[in-house]
Amino acid sequence: MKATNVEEKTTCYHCGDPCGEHTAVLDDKHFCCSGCKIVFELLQENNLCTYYELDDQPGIKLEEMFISGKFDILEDDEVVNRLIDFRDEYTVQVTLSIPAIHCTSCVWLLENLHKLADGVLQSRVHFMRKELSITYRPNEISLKKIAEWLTKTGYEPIIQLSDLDEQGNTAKPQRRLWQQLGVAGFAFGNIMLLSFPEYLTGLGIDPNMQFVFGLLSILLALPVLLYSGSDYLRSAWSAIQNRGINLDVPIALGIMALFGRSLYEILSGTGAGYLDSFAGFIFLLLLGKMVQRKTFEHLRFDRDYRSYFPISVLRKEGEQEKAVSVDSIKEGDLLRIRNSEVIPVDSILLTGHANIDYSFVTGESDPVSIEEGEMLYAGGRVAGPSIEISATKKVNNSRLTELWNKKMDQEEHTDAKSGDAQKAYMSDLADRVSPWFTATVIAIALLASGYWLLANPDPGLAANVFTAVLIVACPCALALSGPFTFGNALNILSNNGIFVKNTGALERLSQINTIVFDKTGTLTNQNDTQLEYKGEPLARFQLSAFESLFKHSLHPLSRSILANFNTFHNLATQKKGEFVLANGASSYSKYSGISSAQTTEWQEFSNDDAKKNSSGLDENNTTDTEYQEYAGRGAVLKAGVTYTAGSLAFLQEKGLKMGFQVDDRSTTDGSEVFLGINDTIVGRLTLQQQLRDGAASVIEKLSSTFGVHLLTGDNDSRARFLRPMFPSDSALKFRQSPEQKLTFIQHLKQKGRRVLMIGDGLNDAGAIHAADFGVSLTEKISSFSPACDAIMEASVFSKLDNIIHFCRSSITIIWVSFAISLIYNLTGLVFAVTGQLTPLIAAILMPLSSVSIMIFTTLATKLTAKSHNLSVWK
Amino acid sequence: MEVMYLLIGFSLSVALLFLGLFIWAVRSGQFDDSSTPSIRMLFDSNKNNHNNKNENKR
Repeated sequence: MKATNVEEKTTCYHCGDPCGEHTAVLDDKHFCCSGCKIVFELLQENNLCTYYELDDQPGIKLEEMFISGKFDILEDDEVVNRLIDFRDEYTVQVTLSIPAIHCTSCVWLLENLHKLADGVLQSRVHFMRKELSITYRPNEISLKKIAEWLTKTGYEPIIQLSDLDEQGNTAKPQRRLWQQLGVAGFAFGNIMLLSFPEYLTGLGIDPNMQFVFGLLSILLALPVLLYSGSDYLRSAWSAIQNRGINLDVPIALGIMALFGRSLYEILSGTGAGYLDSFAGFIFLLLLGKMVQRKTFEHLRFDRDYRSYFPISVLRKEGEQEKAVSVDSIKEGDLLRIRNSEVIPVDSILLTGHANIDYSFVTGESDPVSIEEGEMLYAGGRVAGPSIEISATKKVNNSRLTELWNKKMDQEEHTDAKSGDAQKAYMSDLADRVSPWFTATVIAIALLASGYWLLANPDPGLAANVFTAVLIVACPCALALSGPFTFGNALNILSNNGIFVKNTGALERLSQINTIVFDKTGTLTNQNDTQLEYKGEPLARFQLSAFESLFKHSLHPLSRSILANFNTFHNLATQKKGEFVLANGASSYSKYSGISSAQTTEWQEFSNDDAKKNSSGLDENNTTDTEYQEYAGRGAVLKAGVTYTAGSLAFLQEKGLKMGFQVDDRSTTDGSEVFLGINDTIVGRLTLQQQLRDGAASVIEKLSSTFGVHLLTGDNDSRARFLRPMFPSDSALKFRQSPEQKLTFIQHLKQKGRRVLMIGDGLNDAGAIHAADFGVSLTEKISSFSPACDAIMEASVFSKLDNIIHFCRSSITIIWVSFAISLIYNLTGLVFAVTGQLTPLIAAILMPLSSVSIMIFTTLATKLTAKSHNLSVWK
Repeated sequence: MEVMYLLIGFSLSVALLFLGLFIWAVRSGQFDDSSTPSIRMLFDSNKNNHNNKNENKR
């Protein structure tokens, strides 16, 4: 939002935005717009003003006009059935994703939904996942009404195509881990208590009692072995069957040595066993797993095209239009797609003319003009008035999805062929160390026991030493280093606006040596355009007329112009100062952001009906005005005088003649809109997408350590401008198709480079997937982004180099913690090899090493984050 | 010292009871969401009662 110059110091009571000229007042409270005031009134009527007490200005501004009919699709029972969690005779439970949840007040309000909407029994928020589970009575309220209530208060539920086929319960595996942890902890504590006699050997406990304690310990340890520790044993076994050794193999060895030896010792009465270390070991391992799992609660990373498409579309059935689920579209269906909606299927255009924004699919930033009878492809967004299309394929058969699937297949095939081990198996650092570790341990065990066998013919001692070595070499610390370091690192990264998929991805990130950037939406900010005006000076009333013209137009450029209207005014009148628009505002700040749907049915009607009387010139103006838009080319407004705006070709077609100097045409690198009054072309507006803040410096900083390249689907109009930002040996490629991007990445990989690809659109999807590490840049975390290893908020783009260096440091931290754990292992080995590993020593070493690793990794990652200028706390 | 057996028996039973309760809590979904309850803690329950009490005092 562009701030207005005439700024009152008051901020909106509801959402906190500065109150400009649209200010609404109620009970001496100020609101930035009537939308916020309406929500306040709604809450006040229902006694829900606690909302404002729990957090500061928690309200969410309704940016988009409420499009009635948005949730019509929820009237379809079949769709509802696929969305709900379960249903019984009187109630239904459904879980909706509400990305707008961000604070305490949100939780409070949403859990008090029953006070707003009758029929809702209860609602429960899951804050991390940004979900709301609602239980309601279907015969008192419909899902559609609930969705509308939520939207009215600012908490719009986002329903995606992928929600329709979600099956399975993600809660189950988490519960199992809790149970395993509980059992292990219970056993650990109690076995330790029972082991006290063993620790305090001087007290002379009755050997019978010790035997009973031993039996009890075995009893307690059994569920730990069979339930809590079973996953490790199973994993180790399957790894061995596949002739590999992962971290679970030495863990399993340790577990079995501990348990086996203890069993033998207790039952034969030769010792007290090591069951306390056994239970403690498993407990700590599970704790590490839990920590690791905690960090992945938030985002869904497996986004595919089904998250991008809308869930419903308007289908013409006879004379009526009905909202139907996108899945039910068949070949030949007649559909109507409105402004800013996504086309869900490949189809043929039936309306005379259409303006389609394919930027997400191809990266091309200018909308494409399509004529009647031509093909339209799924994934494009309608950038003009609504259109009618005839479907030629079903949703999952469209060219886009086939391209996607082909990408995936092709990519995996290539990986297997070229033997590229990077993606083919996701290796954890610790997993790679395991073979060496295990081999060394076994070797030492054999050597030590062999030595003792020779030195002392008593086989008991040899067996003692053998198992002792296996026990003490338990990779507890080793197993914890990874999860704790990565867990902390991932948390810190999340606080800094980048969400990494998992630890394997983080490891790959630290090995990157080449970075490839996309341009549109990645390096450039689609919401930030700079406007320039060249031509004849304009009078105030002429500017008003053009303002009215742009307000009627549905072209995305019109929105950008309105957002920068102040600049236009200053340049056109060569005066500094405020331009007050017809309705009293000083700029259409709400028009900034190409993605906001400013269309209402009203605007569509006014467009279809060319002889509409509405005029933005003056409320009391009675002059008849006529407005006509020619999609993709230009628009004409007649109000006594004829005002024209559009492409040069369009104006010339209309017979207008050049009225000012255009000597620098060849150097233009941006979108142009020419303006005409009556039959003269009076001026030209140029709009350029601005580079993101800090983009240039990020590239510069990165290019000193990494190779950098640029791949874009857009044209090369800005090549001159971009070239100096990159080092001379970088490749800058324009007009790249998705396939070409993919090939470029594969080419780099074949040369042995480790590539990071950062992009934001579907056209980058193949390349992002093919890269060693793929980053999706997005303005809004909740909106769609292609499947990737990390999702990054656009606002933190300038920290990219800090982030990559931080990840490299994290890997160093892990190596250091491996070294520390090695020290503990060696100390223990000294005891083990000399046959002096008592249960007491084992019981001390194990927890000590684990706790010190936990503390070390946590502190080290936080310190490293600070030194890289990343924020440690939210 | 035989009393030890009895004591150990008791303590283990109590511990087992707690374990059972824990597992029950996990199964009934109390551990599914560990972040939202910390926010819910901040809410006032029965705010209406509060207001009534204040009014009575006036």
